[in-house]
Amino acid sequence: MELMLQQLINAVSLGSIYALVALGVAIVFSILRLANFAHGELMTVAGYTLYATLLAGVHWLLAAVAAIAASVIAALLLERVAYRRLRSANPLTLLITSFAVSVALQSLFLLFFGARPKGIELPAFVDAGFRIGQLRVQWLDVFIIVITGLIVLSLHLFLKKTVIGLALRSAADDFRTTRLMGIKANAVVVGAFMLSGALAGIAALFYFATVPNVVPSSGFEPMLKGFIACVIGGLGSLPAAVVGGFLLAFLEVGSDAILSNSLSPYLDAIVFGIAIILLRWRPGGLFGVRMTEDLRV
Amino acid sequence: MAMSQKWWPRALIGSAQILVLVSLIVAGVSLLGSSTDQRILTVFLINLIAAIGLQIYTGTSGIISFGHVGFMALGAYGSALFTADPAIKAMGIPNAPDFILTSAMGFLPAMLIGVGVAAIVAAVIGRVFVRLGGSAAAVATLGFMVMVFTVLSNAEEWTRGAKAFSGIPAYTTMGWCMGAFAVILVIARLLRESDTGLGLRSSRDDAIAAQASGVDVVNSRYVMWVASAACSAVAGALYAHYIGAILPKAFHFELTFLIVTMVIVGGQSITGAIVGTLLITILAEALRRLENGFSLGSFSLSEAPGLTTAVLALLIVFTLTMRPQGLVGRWELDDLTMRWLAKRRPAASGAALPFEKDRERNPAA
Repeated sequence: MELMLQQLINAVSLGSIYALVALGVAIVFSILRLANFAHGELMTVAGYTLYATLLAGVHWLLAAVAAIAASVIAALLLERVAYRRLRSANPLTLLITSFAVSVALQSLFLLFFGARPKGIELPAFVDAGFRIGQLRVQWLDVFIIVITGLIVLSLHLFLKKTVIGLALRSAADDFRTTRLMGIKANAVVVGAFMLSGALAGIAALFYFATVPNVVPSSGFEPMLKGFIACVIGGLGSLPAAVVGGFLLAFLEVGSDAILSNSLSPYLDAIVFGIAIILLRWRPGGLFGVRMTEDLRV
Repeated sequence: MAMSQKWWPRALIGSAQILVLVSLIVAGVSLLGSSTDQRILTVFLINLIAAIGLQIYTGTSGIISFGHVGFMALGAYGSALFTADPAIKAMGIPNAPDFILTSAMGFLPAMLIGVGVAAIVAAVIGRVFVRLGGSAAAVATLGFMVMVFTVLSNAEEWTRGAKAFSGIPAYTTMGWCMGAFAVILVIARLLRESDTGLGLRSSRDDAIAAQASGVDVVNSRYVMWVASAACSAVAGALYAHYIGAILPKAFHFELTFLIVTMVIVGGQSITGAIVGTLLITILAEALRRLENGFSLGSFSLSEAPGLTTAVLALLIVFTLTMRPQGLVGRWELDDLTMRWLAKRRPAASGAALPFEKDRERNPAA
């Protein structure tokens, strides 16, 4: 029973990280139809910022803010430098561009920080926890889950209740008509990239709190998981991204618990295999096409 | 008149033109180049085969795959495992099954085993991938690439895991590369010009119209998918027997990026894949030589491993902003030469311009 609960907490906590990454990916995709593979590198930027600021002795709260700010700035730079000129290019070109940007950034990280892992000096409270009976709960997991819940809720309110949110939602539905309504295209796109960068930054904080070292390719794995989560849910829909993130985490934790030890190194392969089998039956993701019509946030 | 025009002579003429050009390059470099140049030439040919392999699927369906490096890995390990000296295998992978431990095959049968494994895997998973398009396909195939990587890195009994599997006989010669290139080039062009290929190419412009005209999009994609996986595996096998030692990390993100870029920068045709491979090989080589030549500020460039890739990636972004459809777009070399000929002697032929051949063959489209 305790073990079950423990696994449940692990899964929800991991799912929160995946959901944040997937949300960041989905926001940009829904508006620009751009699969931003460089999303992982936004997380790596946050990771290196976290490493540098904590090493310099900055208070962790400031370091966290700096990390989020760094990935927002990086996202805006990417939009301005790489993607703006290509906005009307065909989707395949956009895809390759984002792939190239991701590779270029990884190479730059390698150039500036080297290939060796940089250990992040986490504050002590990350390891602290409390007990409920036999169950040991880490405060970190509680934080991750609660903050992710708050973010998803406030994002929902932002998109539903504010004019900018309305503009974003309508741009995701039909960019051209939105522009005809007098909404500035650049404002919408910059807004989407800011949100995406902020989500990447927060996801990076949580990710690097669980894996406390950063290498040039750190962002690849969470990026891939976030994308797979989006595809399982249905690419382009925000609720589907959140659901896909949690589903992927439950698959991962569940498979890990069920599998024998000899198979656990293959965990990623098995989880992706299950995801691919799911796509066999629902190529448009679990929510499929129906959701992209009327429920896309 | 329109229907009497056969599709396959066109494919053969096109292949022959390309083959002549590539042979000229190969002959030139072999005669004049240093041994370094010859090594670059071999790698160029292997990459060329990989790029054409990917283009068989991407060029006809318009869907990118980041998973073909996974098929290359299967081809490489499949071929390597069956050719390596049993004595070396007894030390490296003592727990492998007997049929691998004892086998010491020649290059061709072992390569065919690797290709067969890749084709079977492609056939099994293909039904899923051919239903996905655009970004979903890109993500799912990337997931497949990581799956292959994870399996190869952990199946220590078979592959030595993340460690290098070495002692692979150096069978890959220029002759093998050119032979494999010629065969795959012809296969690729035949597939592309066939009714299946033509139908599929029409579906990349307008999938609904193509389906309404009787194109079986899903099954056509499936044929191309399996064929292109098999051709990628050939490139993988050639690579393994050229380098002599392989490790899973070699078939990961970097190689994927390289091959995919070659295909996209070049354009949507087989000719495009060749132009892209040529351009990227030259660029990468020029950058590598520059790196040894000078230093920039405080960076000593020879100690800056990321720089070549970074500059290459930026150049690619630049090329794509200038020519989003790729360097040669959708045209093949024979389209271009035919057009050139028709322009020079417009009165002599009287036939429709070669660019309208597609419409000629399929008046409904």
